[in-house]
This record gives sequence, C-alpha cells and structure tokens, in this order.
Amino acid sequence: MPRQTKRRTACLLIEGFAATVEQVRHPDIQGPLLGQEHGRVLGACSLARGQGVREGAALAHAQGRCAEVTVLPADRAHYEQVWAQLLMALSQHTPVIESAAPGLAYLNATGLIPLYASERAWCQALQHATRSSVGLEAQVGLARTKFVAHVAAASTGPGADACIVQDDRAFLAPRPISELPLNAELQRRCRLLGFHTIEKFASLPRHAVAEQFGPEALEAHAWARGLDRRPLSSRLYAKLSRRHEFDYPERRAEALHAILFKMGSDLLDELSRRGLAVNWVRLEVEYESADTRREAAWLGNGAGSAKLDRILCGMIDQLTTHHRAEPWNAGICDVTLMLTGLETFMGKQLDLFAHRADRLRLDATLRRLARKYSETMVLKPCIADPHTPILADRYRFCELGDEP
Amino acid sequence: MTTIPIELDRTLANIHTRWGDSAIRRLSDQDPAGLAPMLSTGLADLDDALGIGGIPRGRITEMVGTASAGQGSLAANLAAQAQKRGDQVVYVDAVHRADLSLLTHWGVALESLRMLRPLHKATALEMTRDLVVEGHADLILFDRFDPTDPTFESIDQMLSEVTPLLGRSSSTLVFLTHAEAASYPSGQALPYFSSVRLSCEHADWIHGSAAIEGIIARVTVIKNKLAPPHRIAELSLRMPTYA
Repeated sequence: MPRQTKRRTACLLIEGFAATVEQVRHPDIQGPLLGQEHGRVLGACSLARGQGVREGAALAHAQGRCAEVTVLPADRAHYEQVWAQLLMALSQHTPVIESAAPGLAYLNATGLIPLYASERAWCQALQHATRSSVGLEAQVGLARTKFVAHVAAASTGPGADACIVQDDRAFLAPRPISELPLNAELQRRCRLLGFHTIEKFASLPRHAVAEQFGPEALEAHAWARGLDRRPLSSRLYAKLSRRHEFDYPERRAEALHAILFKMGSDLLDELSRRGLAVNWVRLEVEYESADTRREAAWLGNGAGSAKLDRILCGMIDQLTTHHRAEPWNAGICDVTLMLTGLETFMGKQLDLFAHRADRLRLDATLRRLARKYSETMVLKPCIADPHTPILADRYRFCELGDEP
Repeated sequence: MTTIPIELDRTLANIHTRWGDSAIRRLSDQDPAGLAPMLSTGLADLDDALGIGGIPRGRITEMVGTASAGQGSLAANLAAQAQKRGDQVVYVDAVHRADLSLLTHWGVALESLRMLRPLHKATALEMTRDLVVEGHADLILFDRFDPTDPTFESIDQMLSEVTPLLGRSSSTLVFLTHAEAASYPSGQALPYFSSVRLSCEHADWIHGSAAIEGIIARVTVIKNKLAPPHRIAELSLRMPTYA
C-alpha cells in the first residue's frame, strides 16, 4: 500500500498588512489608519476596515467612508523587509512556506504535528513567532487544503485562537457563497438561483456548473467540495556562514574591511552558484572582553556585490562607533558573517527574459535546423484558448518562424 | 622546486597554441557557464536517491520505463526546474506524443519551451546531434527512444559524436526510453554512454475520493557514475484534472 500521509496546510493571515505594520511603527497613532500609494488604499487597519474601507479603493472614497482616518504614504521596502523577517522566523517551524503576498502565507504542516504537543500548539508557535519577530498579531487557520485554511484563518480575529478544521467540506457547508472566488456576476447568478451557502453550490453536479456558470466556475466548485489540489510552492533558501578568528585582538577598521569583503565575496559566489539571491546579512563579532555584538540587514531583491559591500561598510561603521565608545576593550577576537540566500522568483507563464542572448542564440540555431530539415519540424507550443474545458484544446503548436 | 610548474605552464601554453583552447583543461576549472554541476529534478526524494542532488549536467541520462511509469512527469519536472534556473529547454518529440497539458501541470513555461517534431525517428537523432553541436540548448529531452526499433540504429554513431561535446558544454541530454529495465536488449550503446540511468516502474495508483488521481512511481537508479547506484525513490505523481 502506498504511504497516505494526512495532508495539513496552514494559512497565516495578517489583514491590512501595510496598515498593521504602520501601526507598530507609529504606536502614537490611536485612531483608524491606512497606507496609500498613488491615490489608492494599499492597506487599512481593522478600525478602518470596520467602517467600510477596502484595499484598492480610491483614497477620496476611503476618506469619505472614514473621515477621521490617518493617511500615511506607503513604504513598500519596509513592508517587504518586515515580511521577509517574518518568513524567516516562521521557517523555524516548517520547511515549506509559500509567500502568496505580504500578509498571506501558506505553510505545510504535514507530518510536523508529532513534533509539537498538538495541532493547536503548532499554531500557537506560529502566532508566537509572528509576535516575537515583528510584533504583529496573526490569524491562523489549519485545514487539509489551501482554500479552506484561508477561509478558516479569515474567520478568526488577529491574535485569536487558531481555527483548526478536520473536515474541510463540513466546515465550508454553512458558509456564505460570497467566500468562494467567484466574480460579481457569478455571485449574482448564484443568489438568483437561490444558492446562498457553499453547501448548495457544492451539491450541484459538475456538468451543471460548467453549463450554468461556465468553465471558470469549475475551480470554485471543486474548492467548495474541499478539493483544492493547488500544491504549496515554497522558495529554496540557504544559510551560509564564514568565521574568521584573529590571531590577536584586531582594532584596525581596514583589517576588518578586508576580511569581511573577502568573506562576503566568497559567500556571494557560493550563493550565485546555487542560483540563490542574497537576501539577509548577519554579522557577529566577539570582542576581547567576551562581549558579542550582532548586526543584521535586509538587502531586498536583486542585491549584488556592490550593495553587499555598502551594507558591510555600514555595519563596520557601527562597530567602529562602538570602538570609540569603549576603546579599552574594543579589540575584535573573531568575526562571523552569515548570508541567507533565497530562490529568485520567476514568472510561471510570463516570459520576461525572451530577449536574453542565450534564448536568441538557441532560436537562431533552431531556425537553421528548420531550414536544413523542415519548417514544420521546429515548433513552439503556445496557448490557444485558456478557457476551454477540454485540456487538449487549450494548447496548440505553431512554427518557430511564425514569431516576428 | 619552482622550475617544474614553470615548465609545465610552458608546455600547456604550447599545447593550447597548437591545438586550441579546448585541447586541455584542468579538472579544477569551472565550467564556462558557471552553472551548478547538476540539475535538480524538482522531486526531493529522487534528488536524494541520485546522490548529487539531481541529474549531472554535461552528460547523458536515460530514463527507462514502460507506459504509465511516470517518465513523462519526471521529464516535465526536470524541464520546469531547468526553466526556473533560466536554462533553455528543447523537447525532441520523436514519437509525436508530447502532452502539453501534462507539461503545464508540472510547471513548464510553454513560452520558453522549444519543440522539435521530426517526421522520421532517424531525423530526430540527426537534429539532436546538430543541436548538441551548436551547443545553445541547456537541456534536451528526447522523447522517446525504443531500443528494439531498427530506425534508431544510428544512435551509436550519434552518441559517440555528441558525448565529448556534451562534456565541454553545459548541455544535458536526457533520453526517455520505452523499455523495461529487466528486458533491455543487450549490446545497446545508450546504456554504455549514459552517466545516469533511471528505471521507472508503476508501483501503485493514488486513489482519490471519486477516481484515480495519479500514480506512485518507483524510480531505481540502476547506473550512476557520480554516486552510489541502486537507490530507490517512491514518488507520488498526481495527474492533471479537468478543473
């Protein structure tokens, strides 16, 4: 018999992530708060959401709904940094984390629960990690599939006990149909037909859903039946570190510069060989007085050696400030540099790198083959009709020469 | 003591001048593309069984199995992983059976995929050889080789030509072979030239609530020049549904 492990997926949700982060950054602001970008609401706190402010709404509309709201400009770099910090903290509790968006992550819990006292203890560990790492309160839902885990998480409040679902279909049955990912028109048709709960919609035969609502409703129908087959796709990551022990306590900043740049360059090369982009830098130094000092920085996306060097310079400046404050025991005995690399994101069906030199060279080679053998032998698969329910009709082959 | 390296360097320089840059290489030299020496299959259990974390780049890998043994899914996984690394993938569809829905199910970006569909199987081998000679494809999937089919008899010559070329480039050639590992005909060139050979077997079905949802494929590493062979991985491969 094949191994049948019970699949468990958790959803960690922080609603209005941008506004929640701003609330932590500006504890003096007591009333409703929202982050705005280009005249649109990027994130609204729970108070503002309670008054009808929605993400993506026009700023004027949001201010009309909630007159006393405090509007702050969005700081995406900071939100991404907080989110990356949180993901790093969560990675202590599960190896597979899918970051769907800032404020929404799916975590694989399959097989992990025996390591904790219970499923609830594992969920509490996630909430504690969120609180201790970034100071935010998270909503956690645990179920078999991603969709149900998300609905379960959304049904709780920030910092409240996790919602743990054992039977996905039974949990969804009494919930309103508005929680399914159907567009406004399909929601309206459901209401006209008298389907107010997910149970009613799930009880429809599959062919009837396809005929009545079109193929785009089939996925929602499968989810309503607790059949969400979307896998968790996490990003690979690696932590690499180098340690250097000085022969005697080192006080010269230039010596520290030299050794850190050499270590940083080696680690960066190693991460590049693995196809990972450097994301976090941590530096730990031990002084002759046995004190240790730690510095950490987030490099954001697309960091190269120049950015890493700048960050290291900044860290060394911090250390030399410490030198000046305590010159009598400022000699450094050893230094440890750690880089965390994350797999870079690639578009799934969006080819952003069609202009790359190696692609162009390959296409030139294939065109030569087409001239040598036959134009019809060198093909390029493409999407014909993504909405047709018959899978085989969704794709077609076209000749490579068809491309401009 | 110091004169020996100088003499050696001078000799190496002479060889380079006379026979070209590719005539001699140090084993410590990195490959020119700076790529990792292996390509992950995207399936952790199989990567572990392979010992080096995936299939080796610049070499030939053969996947042996009969129908419904999971070779197509493995190949699609491999292509998707290669594309994630930015590699250029070419699919040689020698038997005109490529399943695009299966490829997309496993994450292959069709926009980036290039496909060769020759009319004759012998032409498929010739085109593959030309592709390796040109050296711009990082992963070439040959679907599908049949050792009992006489139209593939020119594979011996093709393999002897492409193997040294693969070693110098970062191209990886993967053959999907329609045969059972136990009854594989003797005297074939492909098992000899392959660095890694995987035997795929259908171990069991994955039963869903209403229907079969996929297969459990048992993959045995029957040859491995880079790590200990005869390791086994059991993989759950769920098939696409009409969703």
